[in-house]
Amino acid sequence: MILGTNGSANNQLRTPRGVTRDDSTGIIFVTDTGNHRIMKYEVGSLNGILIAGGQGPGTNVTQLNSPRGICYDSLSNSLFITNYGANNIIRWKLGDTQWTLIAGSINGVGGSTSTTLRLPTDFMFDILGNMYVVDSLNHRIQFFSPNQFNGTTIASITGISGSNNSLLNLPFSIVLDSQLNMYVAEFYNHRVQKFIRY
Amino acid sequence: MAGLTNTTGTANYLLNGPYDLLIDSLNALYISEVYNHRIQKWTFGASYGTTIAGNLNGTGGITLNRLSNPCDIIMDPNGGIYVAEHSNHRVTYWSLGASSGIIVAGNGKKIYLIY
Repeated sequence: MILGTNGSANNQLRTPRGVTRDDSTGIIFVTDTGNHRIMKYEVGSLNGILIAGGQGPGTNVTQLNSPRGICYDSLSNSLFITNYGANNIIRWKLGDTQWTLIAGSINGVGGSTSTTLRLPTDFMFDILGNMYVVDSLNHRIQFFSPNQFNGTTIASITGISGSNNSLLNLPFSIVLDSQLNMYVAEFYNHRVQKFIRY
Repeated sequence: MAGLTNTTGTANYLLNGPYDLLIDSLNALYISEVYNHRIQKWTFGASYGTTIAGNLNGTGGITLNRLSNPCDIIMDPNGGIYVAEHSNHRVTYWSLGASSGIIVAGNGKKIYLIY
């Protein structure tokens, strides 16, 4: 452990939680969660390149706050990031110095309304461009149509945790199969539930 | 679908701290377990998982055949798995069928950046 080293140690991480890959190049991007930054790694290199954040934890558009889930989008050459501590989902185009808001509060304020999130952990897009967000501390899954900031709850009940089949307890992850059935991992219930698409 | 509600353990039909999911083209589900320090593959319809990364008994560690608090997992087109290891401060890559990973990010030591 190195304490207090400033900035330059690009070969080191602190509590990384997320990783994504550009399958056309093999480049990976890692959410260096504890350092509030995103690092890029060329194939075969352990020297990370700072891509996003690295400005301390915060809620302004040049900062990240405990980033978690991440997904590279080749069409827009950008990263979609769950900006966990800032209660929002953001997009960071590669080469840019700031993010743009995709869902949640632009000021980093958590909430439980249709336009706010509370500690989002993960998200997924379907082939139609709809976005499914794991809103962990609201114990719900939020559905966003393309370019909409108003979400609809499609699994569980906002703010209510539980262990029966219709509730979630701290959901952390989501994945969709090719039929758009939805699987949700619940960190506190120690289970994965499948939600059938009708 | 996987695990037993509110029940933790290291048996192959249980989960402990499921964190991330991925699904392959055959609808097999891959689950990272933070507290069991392993990645389990649940083939479609299976009632238990098999360990494809980490130790099947749920023992974590820093050696390359172990994981420590694995979080996100992704798969490359060859079926290999990348694992973000929270408490090993690294990302490892596990080729399809491999019994250990290689480090692709981080050096296993954590760094606190001062801003």
